[in-house]
Amino acid sequence: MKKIFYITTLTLIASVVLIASCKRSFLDVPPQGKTTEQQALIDPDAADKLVVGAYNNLYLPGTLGLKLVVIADVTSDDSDKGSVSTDNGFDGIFLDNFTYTPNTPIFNDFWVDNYKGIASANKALSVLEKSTIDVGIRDRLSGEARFIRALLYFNMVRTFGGVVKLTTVPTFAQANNDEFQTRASKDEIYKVITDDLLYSVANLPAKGAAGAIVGRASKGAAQALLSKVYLYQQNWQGAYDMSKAVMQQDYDLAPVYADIFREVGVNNIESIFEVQTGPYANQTASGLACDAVSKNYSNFQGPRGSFPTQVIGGQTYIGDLGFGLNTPSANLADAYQPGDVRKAGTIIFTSDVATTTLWDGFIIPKRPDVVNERYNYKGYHSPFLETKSCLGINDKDSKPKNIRVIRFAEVLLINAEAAAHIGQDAMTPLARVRKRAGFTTTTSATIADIWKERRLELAMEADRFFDLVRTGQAAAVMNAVGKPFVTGKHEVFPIPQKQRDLSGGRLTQNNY
Amino acid sequence: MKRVSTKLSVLTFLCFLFTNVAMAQDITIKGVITDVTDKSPLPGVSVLVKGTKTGTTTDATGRYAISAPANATLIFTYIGYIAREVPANNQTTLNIVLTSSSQELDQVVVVGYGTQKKKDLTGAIAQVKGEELARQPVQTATQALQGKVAGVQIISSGEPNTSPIVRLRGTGTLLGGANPLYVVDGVFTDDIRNINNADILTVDVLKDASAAAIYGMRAANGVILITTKKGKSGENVVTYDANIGFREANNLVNMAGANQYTGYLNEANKYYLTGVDLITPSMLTGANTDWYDAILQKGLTSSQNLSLSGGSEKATYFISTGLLTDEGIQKGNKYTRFTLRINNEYTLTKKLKFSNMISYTNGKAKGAQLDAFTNAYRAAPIIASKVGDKYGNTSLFGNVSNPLLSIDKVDNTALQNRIQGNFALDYKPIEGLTLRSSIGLDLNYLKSTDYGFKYLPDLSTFLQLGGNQSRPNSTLKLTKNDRMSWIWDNTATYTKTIEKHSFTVLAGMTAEAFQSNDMIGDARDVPANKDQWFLSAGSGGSQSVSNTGDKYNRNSYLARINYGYDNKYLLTASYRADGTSKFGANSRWDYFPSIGLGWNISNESFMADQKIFSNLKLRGSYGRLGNDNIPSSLYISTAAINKPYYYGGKLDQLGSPVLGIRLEDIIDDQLRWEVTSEYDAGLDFAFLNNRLSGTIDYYNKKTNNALIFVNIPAILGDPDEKVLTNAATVSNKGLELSLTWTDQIGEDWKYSIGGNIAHNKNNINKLNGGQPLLGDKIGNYAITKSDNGGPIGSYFLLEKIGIFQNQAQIDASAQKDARAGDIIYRDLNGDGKIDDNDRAYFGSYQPKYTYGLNGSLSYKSFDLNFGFFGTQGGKIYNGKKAIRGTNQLTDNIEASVARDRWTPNNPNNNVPRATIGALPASTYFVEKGDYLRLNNLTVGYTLPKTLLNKARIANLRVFLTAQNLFTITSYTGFTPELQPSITGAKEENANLNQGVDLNSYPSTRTFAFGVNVGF
Repeated sequence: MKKIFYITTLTLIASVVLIASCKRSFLDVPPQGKTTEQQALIDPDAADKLVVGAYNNLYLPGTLGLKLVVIADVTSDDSDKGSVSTDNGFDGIFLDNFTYTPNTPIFNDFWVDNYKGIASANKALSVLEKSTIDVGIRDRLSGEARFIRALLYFNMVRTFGGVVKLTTVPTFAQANNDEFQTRASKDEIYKVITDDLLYSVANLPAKGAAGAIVGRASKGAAQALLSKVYLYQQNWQGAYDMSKAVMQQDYDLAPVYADIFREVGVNNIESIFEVQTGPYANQTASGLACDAVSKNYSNFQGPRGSFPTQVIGGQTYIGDLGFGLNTPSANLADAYQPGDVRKAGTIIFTSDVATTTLWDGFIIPKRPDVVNERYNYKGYHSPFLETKSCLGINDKDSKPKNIRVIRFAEVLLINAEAAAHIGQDAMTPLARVRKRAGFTTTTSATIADIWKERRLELAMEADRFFDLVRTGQAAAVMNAVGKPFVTGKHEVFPIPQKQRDLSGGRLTQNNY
Repeated sequence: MKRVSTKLSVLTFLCFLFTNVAMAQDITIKGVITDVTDKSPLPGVSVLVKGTKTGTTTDATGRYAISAPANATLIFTYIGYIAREVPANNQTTLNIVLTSSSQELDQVVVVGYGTQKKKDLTGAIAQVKGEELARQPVQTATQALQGKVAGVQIISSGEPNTSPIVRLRGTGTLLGGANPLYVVDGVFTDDIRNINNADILTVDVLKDASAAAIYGMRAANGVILITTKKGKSGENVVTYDANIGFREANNLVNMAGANQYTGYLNEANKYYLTGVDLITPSMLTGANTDWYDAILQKGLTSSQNLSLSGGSEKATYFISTGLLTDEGIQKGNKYTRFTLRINNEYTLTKKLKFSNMISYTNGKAKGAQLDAFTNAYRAAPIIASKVGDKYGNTSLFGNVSNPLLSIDKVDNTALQNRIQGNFALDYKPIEGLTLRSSIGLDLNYLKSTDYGFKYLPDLSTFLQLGGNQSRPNSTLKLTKNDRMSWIWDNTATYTKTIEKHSFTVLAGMTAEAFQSNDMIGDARDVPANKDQWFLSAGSGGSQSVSNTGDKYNRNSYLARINYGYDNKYLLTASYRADGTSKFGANSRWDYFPSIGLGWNISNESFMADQKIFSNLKLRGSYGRLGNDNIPSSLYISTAAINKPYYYGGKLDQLGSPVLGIRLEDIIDDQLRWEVTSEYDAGLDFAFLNNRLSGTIDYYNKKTNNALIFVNIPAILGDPDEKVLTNAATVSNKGLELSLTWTDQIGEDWKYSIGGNIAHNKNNINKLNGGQPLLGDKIGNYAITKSDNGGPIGSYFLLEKIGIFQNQAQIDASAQKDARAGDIIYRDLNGDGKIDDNDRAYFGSYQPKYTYGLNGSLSYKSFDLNFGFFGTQGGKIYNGKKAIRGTNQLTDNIEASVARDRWTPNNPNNNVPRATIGALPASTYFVEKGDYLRLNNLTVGYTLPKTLLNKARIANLRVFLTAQNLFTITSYTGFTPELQPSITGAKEENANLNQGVDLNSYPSTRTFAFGVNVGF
């Protein structure tokens, strides 16, 4: 009896010891199917991949996509919310009518997406700092990451004024420090932007130079953006010099204005920086996802209504082209002088008596089957003749439409404006832009002329509202079209309430 | 259990003849003794002639015969039942019904790694018998548990095959993992939808730390132990139970009809926008659609169970099969479940016993389209649902999909195969010592096929051309979820009694492993023919597969001692050490001790002479409990991979993009256990010869280091803007009382009534960093704000104080831009404007009281059972109403809102004027969540035995039952019972958002007819 007892007890103890002795490995279970940060950084290309990951943020609707368009265009005199009256249009209804509040979601979306981009640029930079890769490559990659950071901060400062200054990677615990929970001044943010861009100018290869890759940020891109930033700082000499530097490189105006915004114009001679999209499909838990596009960028401004099914070249396309938002205003349409080729390149005009045929043969029915009178041609992406969404011709959400961020025509206009301020030749660059638009003569190059030219040349390219504020025309122009712009208030938008709450009230509000 | 043994009854009959002859001077009294509730005959009841030593016991069919003087009084006693004294009064037949005493002191309860007699408990454990659960036409045992146990809140959904939410003594964690641990015959699980209620012997709810701490690491939310039936040697029993009925929607919310809708929207638009009519006469086609009517059905429900059990001295068996059909109330929604259970026990030698308890479940679900309910709530009534075979084009009108079309154009089927079981070896080497090794397995395979039929926004599908509801390419999605887990328990239990001291000592170790593999495949353009629903049948290049998995292990050591002295003083002490792979090496192990003390006061000698208490026991306990119920490996920073970006030229020349990575997920590498410490003090009592019995418990539970997803500022760049960290302390304090009264009046009327009530106060004591947790937003406003000093999910809102009736009021207010008919908000800080600084707290969903009332009544062969459940003190934020303005402006409105709206002709202070945009989050949307519901009402009739005997049927009962017959509530939504929101809310925020009602799944009621047959 006792024997059995001891044997059993010993067996039990033995099995317990057995398990206990291997408990270390038993309880060490690595994450399944995921790459840990440690494993990711072992990769020799980790730094490069991190910079690519930072570029990827440019696809977010809240960085350079449709949310920026709503903020910069729909708010302005160039564009209306569009669509049907009951459609709130990604909050465009509130921005168009100046009835937005700190709780209007678009501001938080914009804030969040831009900081995602800024944080991933910072993360890439922090890894690059410690990286042992070739110094030349390291500095180029750093220049690209800093370009992205500057670009996003520039949009942030134009939208909100001073924001949180974040150029490092704070830990979860540090993030609660006042430093990261309060707004830096507008000047401090501009300092970050100019420092970043000066670094990029110094370290990025020029277009066509050794090491330059089409689609990545280049020296020219940094110089062009910096010249624009200087314009906002009224650093006329700086803007002049930087724009001049771009003009001396391999850039020129594309011969046909309308082509710039079509696929034939992708990365053309005029392109300085654009968001590079494509039909890449990622496999996710919810199926294929087109992850290399700015979601709904084209769709949200596509003509809306009850469209018949269309067949072109054996391809069947169903329904309308989009949500019908961000429609060019009558005021903009009227601003073009007769003979200005940019009018037809910018605006799709619909009719209540006849159908409208687009450049690719797509037929838009007459009103009221199509809802609005005008649509943004620059946002149009042909379902038939241009690269399709990774999900096929009928997926409207994920059309690979490149977004033109800065192009040579704007550099010429920056140069003209800066030149006019410092007594240099404004006429030549202005005339160059006007010539392509269809005007052989340019007789006057006053600041007002240049501003007017900026509006027409860059219409519907997510710049107008900021430009009106920059030039001090906002109140007059907006009020003239019936928008209740109030000086001293509406120059910047409200800081999102959610972020203010998360900061425990340490983020101060603008005049809202 | 119904049983018959002809052999034994013949014997008894012979005995009866014999005694009759032998004692001719007395009369012979005979009869049958049955249980009051289920009418089953009671074998082994002792029958004694009062004042003598003459006695007998009933046979297996509950019959007895005894010789006694004609004026004798017979005493019937039976363990677990209330004794009865009945005068014979010259009658020769005395059929007696015994009522079980609710305070079944000798009742054996399951305590985890063992059993204990209820009288020896020091912890708070409630037991519910399987029969009580099987009576109700519900799929899952926990649904039937509602209202039966004090302090247990069950929230079930109207949707078939949905796990009910269970909250034991309040919500002790802010994270998703607030459900209790289920232990089915020793196997840990969080899903018991596979268990056939008819197979359940008992459900034991371990409520306090003394009881639950033996399950240390997963016990913080309480533990529910489910024990399935076993065969008994000597009896071969066949039972058949069936019911059939239907399920229908109840408490539907009336939506505005075409006229009301048009009037409301046009009036609203006069205040806004262009001022023109939003709905013009040309848009009216004469349709007046009730969208709920269009998508609802009356669902058939039925269940059938057949069981065989019995055995010899060497082996026993219990075999049961069940078939359950549950059609939901949405067209096409249906769930069927087949279950098979085999529980065997083999006595191999005197010392060695082997047992297996295995269940197999096969489930098939035709899923409901949940967004169809939301769309039915939103869709405009002026659009026809379907005319002929063409559908109304709702999306053309207002961007809501036609819900009927959405339902008709998909075919979703989920198939589940699950095997769950336990194999155990019990070895008793010496008297009092049991060594047990058991392996539990849970293999769960789910395969879903979701097919979406192709249809275009053209005239072959719709009445009108256009809109954005279409599926230009048919879609096929195949999902396979494989789950495998095993648990290996090794325990040694030693029981010894030395004079007045009794000991039970338990020691053991367990190891547990879980692994899952999830595969999802998609394809487009798969033909509509069902036989071709394979990914390869899709168009070239449209296929994609994603594959993820999970894995975690746990390892524990446990020990417990139960000590009792003279049946008066009781001590239970337990200790468990738990390790989990879910946390980093430094915080992987934690320790969970508990101690419980009990004093059986009624067993004291000084209580011997008193007549008031039949039982009185005082209990007290303290213990620590853990919760690691979070996804694995969250303490490790992982990279987001495959972030593409294109370089290199024109689009039409592009090859593949460069794939980047992002290190963006913010993690807390110091993540550790949630630990709950709990005190409990309890009193068990019974008066009046056990007629009135009850229990009072007070508890104080505190969860330190509660895991929460803290919303973090966007500057950190985290993709979901939140991080999981141990940043909160949550407490639940409460009082529970349950009372049962059992008695009978004369021979024919028997009744029992039990009530329970629990009060719980939920409080967040500490949030590290002082950062309150914001719930999900509706439109622009976070509805709940959980902060120190308040319950989880407290509403943080503007206060509605009335409605502007005239311009003078507006001029005097802080809302200068308002117009008559707008809501007046309280300018809390008096700064002359209404903004976020005017928000304050206005209650939460957490009820202050939950209560249940259960009764049974029988009259001769008729029986009636009912169960009520109710809650008091919780508030609901009517999110469906609030979300309206943030959706498309053409969304429908609730009829009562449209009817009662403020107009100059209908000035009121309740419902504001017609509006289109979103209203700020305010108390206007807060409603009382109190309700009282009749969970179940059953009326049964047991057919007379004389009729049945010819058919060789032991007993036959027919019954009518109604589940969820009515709910008394002032809440205007579909149901005040809110499962975490189906739409919107993220799982981890479920506890923060629970009271925000976005759920549009109507609640249901079921009527069924059934039979119980025993052979």
